[in-house]
Amino acid sequence: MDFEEWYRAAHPRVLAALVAYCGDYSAASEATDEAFVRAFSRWARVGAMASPAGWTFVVARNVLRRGIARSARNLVAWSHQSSDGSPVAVDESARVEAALEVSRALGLLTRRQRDVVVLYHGFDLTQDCVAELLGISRSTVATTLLDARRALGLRLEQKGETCV
Amino acid sequence: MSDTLDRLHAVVEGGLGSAPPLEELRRRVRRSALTRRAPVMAALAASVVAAVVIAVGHRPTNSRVVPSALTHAVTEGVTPKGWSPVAWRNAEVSVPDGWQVPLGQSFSCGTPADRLWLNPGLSMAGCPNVVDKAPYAILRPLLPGTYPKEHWEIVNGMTVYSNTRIRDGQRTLYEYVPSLGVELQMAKAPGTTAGAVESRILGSLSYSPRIVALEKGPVPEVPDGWRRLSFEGLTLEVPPRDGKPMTYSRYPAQACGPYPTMGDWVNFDTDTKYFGGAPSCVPGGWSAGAWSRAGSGVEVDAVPGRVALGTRFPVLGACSTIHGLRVCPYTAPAYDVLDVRVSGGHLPHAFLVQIGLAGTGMTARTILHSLRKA
Repeated sequence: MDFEEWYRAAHPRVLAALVAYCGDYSAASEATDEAFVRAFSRWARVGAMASPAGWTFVVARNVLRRGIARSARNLVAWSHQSSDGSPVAVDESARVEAALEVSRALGLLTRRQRDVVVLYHGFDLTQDCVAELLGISRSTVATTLLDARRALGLRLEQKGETCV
Repeated sequence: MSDTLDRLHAVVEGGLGSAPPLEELRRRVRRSALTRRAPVMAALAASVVAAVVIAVGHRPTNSRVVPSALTHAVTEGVTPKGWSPVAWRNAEVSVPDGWQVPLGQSFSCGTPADRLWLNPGLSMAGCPNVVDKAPYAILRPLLPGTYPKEHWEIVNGMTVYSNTRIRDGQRTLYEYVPSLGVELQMAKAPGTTAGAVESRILGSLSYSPRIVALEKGPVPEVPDGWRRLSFEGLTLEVPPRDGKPMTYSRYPAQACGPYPTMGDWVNFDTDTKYFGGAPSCVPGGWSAGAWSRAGSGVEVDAVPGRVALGTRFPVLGACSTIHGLRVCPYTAPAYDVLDVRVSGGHLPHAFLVQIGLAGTGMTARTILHSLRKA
């Protein structure tokens, strides 16, 4: 797989998933950039994986948890424009809001539940693939998904009662 | 349930932004490799930087340098005309009058609380709109060792490291100030020229009056005309209020804001405006036009629940003993306010005391050092 082609398609997806995961656009974008630097330097191995995007998301999530510290340490002036050089702010605003809205809903889940839900539902990965990326068993993935769905379902019920 | 998961799927499929140019990625990878492989080169580079610094007469440093606060900690005269200073933690910057300054927790969408927003846009969902509503700025705590040091300059006597990023047409400046322990992010609107606003904000960077109030040193004398107030066993001196009465307020229970409470709470406030700076309990989130700056007054809270909540915030600065009372400054969620927890000294219970940081901080220092058991 060609890195550049994959990179152009995967970067926006990983960034969106991370914003939905953590609810912080600024921190998510820095962590995403750092994760792609690592994917690039390990492309021979990462490119052969079942889901390079899933791997990059997990790396970005780890960077995020370390408070961006390691990414910022090697950060250099890094700027970029949209591909045609024009601002893309209007559509982007709505997309950021949509991601933040999802992050609020996911905020009810535990960290592991969010990991599994984003990889499984966000990236459309199989349970086997999610298990491999997170280093857990497939049965744990299945149980965690069940718990997560239950937690999201409970939330909706509670919201309904409140509205009544 | 499925709605949330469907939206998650749609968000990820839709993506956000566009990937930075591959060349930038390659350059960054090369730089990372060089950093890992060549500590000798790094040392050499540091020597070169040191030589240049000595040559121009400046010395960048990461150590916390607190100048003699009682004489010149707060750089006076750096606030442009028509602008107002905003003190947050140990830093102060100035922003144009009319800019809204909401706290992180003022937004209804889970925005991190440990940052201060200066003129953010507001999305329909009650979130800060960080995409197309610039210019705006953000102050956030700076973690040691988490910032690049390639570019630096001296601003009002402080070393400021800087970095620039452009994403989707929006240019964001990152200014890292180790001596103040803060990071200042400033963004400008797409399609506008770079700017004067950002450089003026940066030029207004200074020490917060909080440092003046807290620094060790001579205890100021209480000026003539000040009043002594007592509240539930704690006494303190406050400036005159031009004949306006001191207010005892009863607030309803609140589920949001810096200090959520389960029941009504009572405090006294020597200022003419509600403390806390930003609105914090706005249903549906923050709305424009609703912030007020703290003045030179004092607010004392004695409700156990609020005092306990105040202790959750980390101490920022050193605890001290004032007239036998233990006084610990902590990271106030609000701005323009020095928050301390007062306990010990045979007080009946602990207190949260919030002191306005108007001016240079000497008024707040005088109030702080007047605290004693009634």
